[in-house]
Amino acid sequence: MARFMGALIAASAILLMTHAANATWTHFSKLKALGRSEESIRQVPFNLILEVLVAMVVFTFGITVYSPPLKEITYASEMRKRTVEEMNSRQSFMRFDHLRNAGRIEPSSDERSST
Amino acid sequence: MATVNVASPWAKPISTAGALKTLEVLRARHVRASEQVLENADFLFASNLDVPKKLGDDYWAFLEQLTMAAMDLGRGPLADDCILRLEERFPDSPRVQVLQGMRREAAGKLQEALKIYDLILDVEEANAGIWKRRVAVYRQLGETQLAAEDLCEYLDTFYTDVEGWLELADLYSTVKDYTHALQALSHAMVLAPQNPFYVLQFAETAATNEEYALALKMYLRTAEMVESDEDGGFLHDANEVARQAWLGVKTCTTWLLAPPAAAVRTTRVVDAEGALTQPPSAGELQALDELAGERIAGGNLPDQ
Repeated sequence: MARFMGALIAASAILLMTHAANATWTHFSKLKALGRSEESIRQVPFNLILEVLVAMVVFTFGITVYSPPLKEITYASEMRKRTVEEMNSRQSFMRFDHLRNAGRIEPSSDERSST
Repeated sequence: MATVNVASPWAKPISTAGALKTLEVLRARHVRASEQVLENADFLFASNLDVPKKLGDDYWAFLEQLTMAAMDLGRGPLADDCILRLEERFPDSPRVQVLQGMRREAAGKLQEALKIYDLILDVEEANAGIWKRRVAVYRQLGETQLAAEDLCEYLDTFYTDVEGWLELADLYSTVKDYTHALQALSHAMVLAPQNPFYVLQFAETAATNEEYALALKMYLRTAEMVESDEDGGFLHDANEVARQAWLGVKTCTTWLLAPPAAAVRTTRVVDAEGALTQPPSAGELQALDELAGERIAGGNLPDQ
């Protein structure tokens, strides 16, 4: 639930930013249409600058709440998830004695007896 | 993301995506869970999924995994089929050679496999996979002395192979030569310093060898490594390392506080300073005894 609210806040901040961008563009279009687009007048209106800054702050809050829980980074926490089977499997030294002992495979005649 | 259980009992595969994920985790973690691998693989083949296309490059690693699992459970024809495919794709590959050798071993033809390994190793001495198989064949033939010598030579060449040191420790433990097993395990600990499992194994081997002061030290080291501040202590772990460590501490303190009269032995393994491990004083032992009791009862939570 908290993450959903965070997502909403972040989304509204993005909408606010988009609105500020659009308002800036219309402002400059209006100036150009009126023929007043000299360099000295070409400033972003103060209220739009404020809007962008507010959007940034709101977005920071929203994205912080929205982020998923942090994962553990310590070696010890990773070791807690492991089992003995995987730590001591020694697969390269895998043996097949159990197949002969269970009678599933006949020992071949050229094999010496094992202990 | 769902966690994959690699201990038994495991969850039966219910979807191809789940089966693929399980197989991937088992490959990455080098678990010898052959029944689980075969169950998941059978599930994949029974579904109408185009496995080679879906896995892409991982298909060959999957085949290797499947081959080893099939041989482990005696499913010869499946293993042969997989090896054939791998041979076609990777002719003259050392990894495929290892699988072919293992197939002969699994069929019981140990002397034949041994001859082939000797031939290969005469030509290329540093073929690690084949060398390890030769050690395994010596063990299967019951030639423990030869296996130990060969494995020591292998480890002189490939010192950083933790698996090899663990195998050597197992070899020595099987013949009850615990001193040499402890030495092998100490090399494994040096190579994997963050791993509590090997420290626990060292402690248990020392305890089996009745070196209770050394065992106590290593059990405490294990407990220190797995200490957790989170809720539930070790009850949420996938393994029993913390519980075994504290049970081990309890066993050692009990013995050290009241050793049976005829069995007082000093430890034989020297530590880094060249001194024998001395047990702590009686007061400290008593305190450790109580602490171990609390930890076992309370699930390893601090300040219980």
